[in-house]
Amino acid sequence: MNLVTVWKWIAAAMLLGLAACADGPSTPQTNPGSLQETAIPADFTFQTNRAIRVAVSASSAMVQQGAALEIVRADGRRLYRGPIQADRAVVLDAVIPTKDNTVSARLLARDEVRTAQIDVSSGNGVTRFE
Amino acid sequence: MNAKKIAALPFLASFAFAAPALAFDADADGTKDAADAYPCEANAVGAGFYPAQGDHGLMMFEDLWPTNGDLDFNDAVIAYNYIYKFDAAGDVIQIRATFNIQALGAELRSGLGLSLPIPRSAVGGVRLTRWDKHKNEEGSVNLVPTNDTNLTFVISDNMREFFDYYGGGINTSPSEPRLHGETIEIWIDMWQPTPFPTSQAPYDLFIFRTDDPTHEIHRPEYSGTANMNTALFNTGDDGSNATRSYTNIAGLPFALVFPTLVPYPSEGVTIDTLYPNITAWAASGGTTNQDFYTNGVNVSAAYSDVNGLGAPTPEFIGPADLPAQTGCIRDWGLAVEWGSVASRYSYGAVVDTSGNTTITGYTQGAFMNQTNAGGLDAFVAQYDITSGNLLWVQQLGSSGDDAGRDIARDNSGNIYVVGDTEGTFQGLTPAGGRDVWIMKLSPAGAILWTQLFGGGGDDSGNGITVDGSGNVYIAGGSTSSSLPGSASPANTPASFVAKFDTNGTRLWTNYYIPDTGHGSNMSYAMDVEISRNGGDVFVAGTERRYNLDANAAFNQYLARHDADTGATVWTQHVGGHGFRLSPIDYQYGYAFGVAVDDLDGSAYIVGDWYGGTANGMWNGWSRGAGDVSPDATITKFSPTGEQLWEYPIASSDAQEDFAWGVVADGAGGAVYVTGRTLGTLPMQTNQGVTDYFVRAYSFDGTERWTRQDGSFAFDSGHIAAVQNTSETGGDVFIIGNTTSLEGWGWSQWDITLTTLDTVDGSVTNQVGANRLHWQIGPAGACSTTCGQGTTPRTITCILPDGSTAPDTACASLPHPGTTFPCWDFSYCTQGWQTDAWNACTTTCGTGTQTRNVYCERDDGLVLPDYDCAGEPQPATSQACTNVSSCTYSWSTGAWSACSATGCQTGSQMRAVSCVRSDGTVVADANCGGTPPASTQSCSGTCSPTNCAELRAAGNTANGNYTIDPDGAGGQPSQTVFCDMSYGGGGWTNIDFSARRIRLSGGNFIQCQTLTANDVEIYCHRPNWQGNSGWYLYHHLCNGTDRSADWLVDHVGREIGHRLSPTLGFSSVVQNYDGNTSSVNNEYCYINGSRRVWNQCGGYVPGQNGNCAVGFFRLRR
Repeated sequence: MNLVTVWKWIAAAMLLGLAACADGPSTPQTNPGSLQETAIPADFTFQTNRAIRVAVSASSAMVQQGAALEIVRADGRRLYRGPIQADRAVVLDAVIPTKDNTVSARLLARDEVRTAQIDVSSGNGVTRFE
Repeated sequence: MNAKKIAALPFLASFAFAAPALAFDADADGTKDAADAYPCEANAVGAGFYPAQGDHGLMMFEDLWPTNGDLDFNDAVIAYNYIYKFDAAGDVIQIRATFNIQALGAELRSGLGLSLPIPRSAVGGVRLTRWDKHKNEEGSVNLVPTNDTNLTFVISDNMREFFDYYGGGINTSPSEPRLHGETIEIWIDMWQPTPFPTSQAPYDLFIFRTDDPTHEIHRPEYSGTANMNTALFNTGDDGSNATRSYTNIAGLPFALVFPTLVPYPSEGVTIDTLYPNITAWAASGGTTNQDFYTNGVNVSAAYSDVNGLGAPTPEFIGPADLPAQTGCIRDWGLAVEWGSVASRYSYGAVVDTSGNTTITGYTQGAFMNQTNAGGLDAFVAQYDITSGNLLWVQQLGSSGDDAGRDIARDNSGNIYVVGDTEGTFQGLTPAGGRDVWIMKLSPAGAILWTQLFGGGGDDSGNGITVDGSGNVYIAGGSTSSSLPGSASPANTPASFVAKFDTNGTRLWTNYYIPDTGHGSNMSYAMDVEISRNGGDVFVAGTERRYNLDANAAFNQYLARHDADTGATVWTQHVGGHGFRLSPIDYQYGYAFGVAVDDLDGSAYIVGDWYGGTANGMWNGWSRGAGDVSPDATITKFSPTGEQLWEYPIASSDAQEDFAWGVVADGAGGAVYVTGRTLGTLPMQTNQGVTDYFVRAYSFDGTERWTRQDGSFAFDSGHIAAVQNTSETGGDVFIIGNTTSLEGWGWSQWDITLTTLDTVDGSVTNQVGANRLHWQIGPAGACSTTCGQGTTPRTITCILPDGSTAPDTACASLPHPGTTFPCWDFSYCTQGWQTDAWNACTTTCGTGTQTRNVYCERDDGLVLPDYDCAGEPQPATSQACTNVSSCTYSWSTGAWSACSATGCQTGSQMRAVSCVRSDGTVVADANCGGTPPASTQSCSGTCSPTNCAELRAAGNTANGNYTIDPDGAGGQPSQTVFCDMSYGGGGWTNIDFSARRIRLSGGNFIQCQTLTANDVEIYCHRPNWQGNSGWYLYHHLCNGTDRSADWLVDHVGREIGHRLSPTLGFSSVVQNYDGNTSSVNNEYCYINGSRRVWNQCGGYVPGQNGNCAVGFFRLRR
């Protein structure tokens, strides 16, 4: 690479840099009805999550050695998996999308899987497998 | 295919079975593995996820705060995921946070920090791992927590380091290709289990300016770390207040968080362009349109690169799942062997009389208090079967991959293991390539000795067994040109079997390809077994040869070797030797396991078979239409190599079925096959993906029961062992793998172990427990000396305490009967046998016919032809005659020359014969009826042209004669009536009754058929008044037209003509017949009466005549 070529590279890089600088911090045009024109409630922090607390318990008839508990999100994805013992509630503090009002608890015993839907619209949900 | 490769195939090696697993607790933390999210880590039992298992959230920043930006929220876009490790009390032991920078859309350089709501003092350490898109490796940077009340630390001072790109915007311009940044994985270990506010996820993930770390930007609910320059608040466009921070005066944030992966805007595109519903959501304070990021999304506003690569792809984000477990039982298949009853080709386990199970295999990680030496490590581990507790473990490895393949146990409880290694194993010098290792351990797990075995190629030890004296036999496959103690095989890969004494000294080696004399050119031993009662060694494997159709075929084989010398006693092949070969399509048969029945020394091999096309045959068994998937198989051989019976084990929906292991109960009672199926075996139910199966056969091949079971995921049973050698009161041990127990992924495996009742296959999990059962006594003499017969046996009812009881005590159990099949081949001979001739190739005449000729033993077993080579082989084809469809008819030859001379009457002869439809002359009786005349009268060769010549030759009798009026003129002869009496005879009378004739120069011409009663007589008037041609001479009809224009004589000469139709006929002017009589002297016959000319043919010169039909006589 000769000096002329080097200089061309530097010039190109400067141009690119300037273009990028001009691009990033620019102030957008505002449109009526846009987010920028909307009155935002004073205490709103743009949260898309919310915290919940779920308590799940099971009777000794349901829980055998090696039973597992799963708590899953409304879309079926797991939030928790672990053991569960008879008459000892598993309490999970979790975060779910604000749009969800339920989670599900799945009890995996040796020979069967039981599922219970839990309403967490209030932030707390409780269920028990009998 | 060698064992290593087989192991690499998920459907061959990575299965197990699942559902009725015993409650293992590999890490002994009190939580059984089935429920333990961390079965390999003591005290870690639960796992929590944010935003969810397998999912990432997304954080978007505007980086100009406190100045308003362009609201495209792509100055920093970061994917995140948190996984919590809980103890049994629900406290957090460890947090793993994963971040991946998706975009850096601005020129400002920014760092990344994280502040967690726990005190720094609660944390024992923070580690970082950086992943690039191809591999992961430990980062060299240890995070340094900042001086904060909370645990706050810097992840990066400049996030561009994760792209190694320090130019313009990253992943925001649609005109540029996407860059893939490294993933950062942060491990936060607590000093001790700690209550952790998981409800605050995703915590305070913030950015700061690289050139001013105090210039932080957080989400609105956070007000900055202890390092934050608070003087920046309420400057520029900032509208922070006591309720929220990092918002502008209008309340818009500079950071947004999403609980899942979502698109982000291209450069300069505002967030509300991408998410139009965000405006309503924000205006409502988050109470409406909460799904704005999934509903009504304007995807055209989302970033995608020049190649159209848009939303973040998990491939480049990093894991959002539990990391691979280390030091635990996963990623290996299993096999079980009890005593020395059975073994498997690779991974194995043995069960002692207490039910303690010793397992070998390999691990990707490290067992507790063990160290991984690199790659895969082999291990030998013993578990207390009643509690599932790990009793002891030996993790064995080199820098390469190592695996334990099979395991055996001697009568003293010592453990013998065979495996292979790719490195320096236990300090032993490698022989080259992959080597076989053999190890002896004490019952308590102490290594007593280790031997390395191999040549310069790859050597795999697949099976091991031990005899009553502690001698060890191993078998496997090798590509080495030679192995210690044996001659080189003709080709490689080849099988080997070797014997070591109980101290590890090698005694002999046999490195071989079975049955090379009959086309085998490649083999691979997969398992070895010896009876507890001693005797020879049986090796099962796969060999390649060419079938009758010259297609290469892989066949299962079983070989018997002399235990003292290693010499091959015999080999048998399933798919080859042992049944009549048929020239079918190519086929693949693999044997994976061998078992020996201690009672009678018979052997079983199991494996799989499939052909290249549907409707193939395995050992005489037809496959279903369209079934080209492998079927599991089991075949039984007598101690002398006779194939006793064989069965396929095939799912009814034509899916893949494999048999991995086989075990005989040692009492001649039953044999158990394990494997896995992708489909559904008859009368069973598929539990999901693949299931394990166990099928029990009586030793005579009668199916007793089948159990197919499993989880929703992959399951496979690898081998069985039987505890209690009774036929109906024992346990079948099944060890396998499943992907379901931890449920974290399809590629992570766990061991399962269960016991099934030998009676019906029900789950017992009563390991070691004796139960009420029938005990089968030893066999008596067999009723035959060659083949299958019957033998009586004593059946005794045994109580759980081992004492005998009256049969009534066992009434609840199915009685096994007192007469059992038996096999004896002590006096067998073989010879050629022939089937009946096939049908003749023709149905009328002589053809060929064929028949099957085969070598058959006395008991009916068909052997290969070479087993009868000492006797002349009967013909397989011969000539044949078949007349079933023949027809018969008379055939006549040409008449002989007439015996008469001149125009004399004589006789002539011809040949008359009865001929079959194939042309063969047969007896006249076949044709029946009256044969055609073989003689007839004939005239001499005078060739008369008229009756006058015949009369002149002396023929005086009136009657029909044959004349040839034109002689050699080419016209056929005619039969005419010759009047030999009237007027001196010699009158030629022509029958006009149904013909017309032409007279030409006195010659008769071919008559033509007329309608009834019509006769036309034409003559050729050669020259009359300058005209020549055929003219109607006379027309005799049934009507009124009786015209005649020309009158000719019998030789066609004109003797008169009709002047005109109205004027009548001219007078006769000439008489050309040689005499002077007028035409009226001519006569004709009408209705048998001779008439004068004017009565003939209705012709009367000058008047109309009668229309008549009769003879027209011409006299020469």
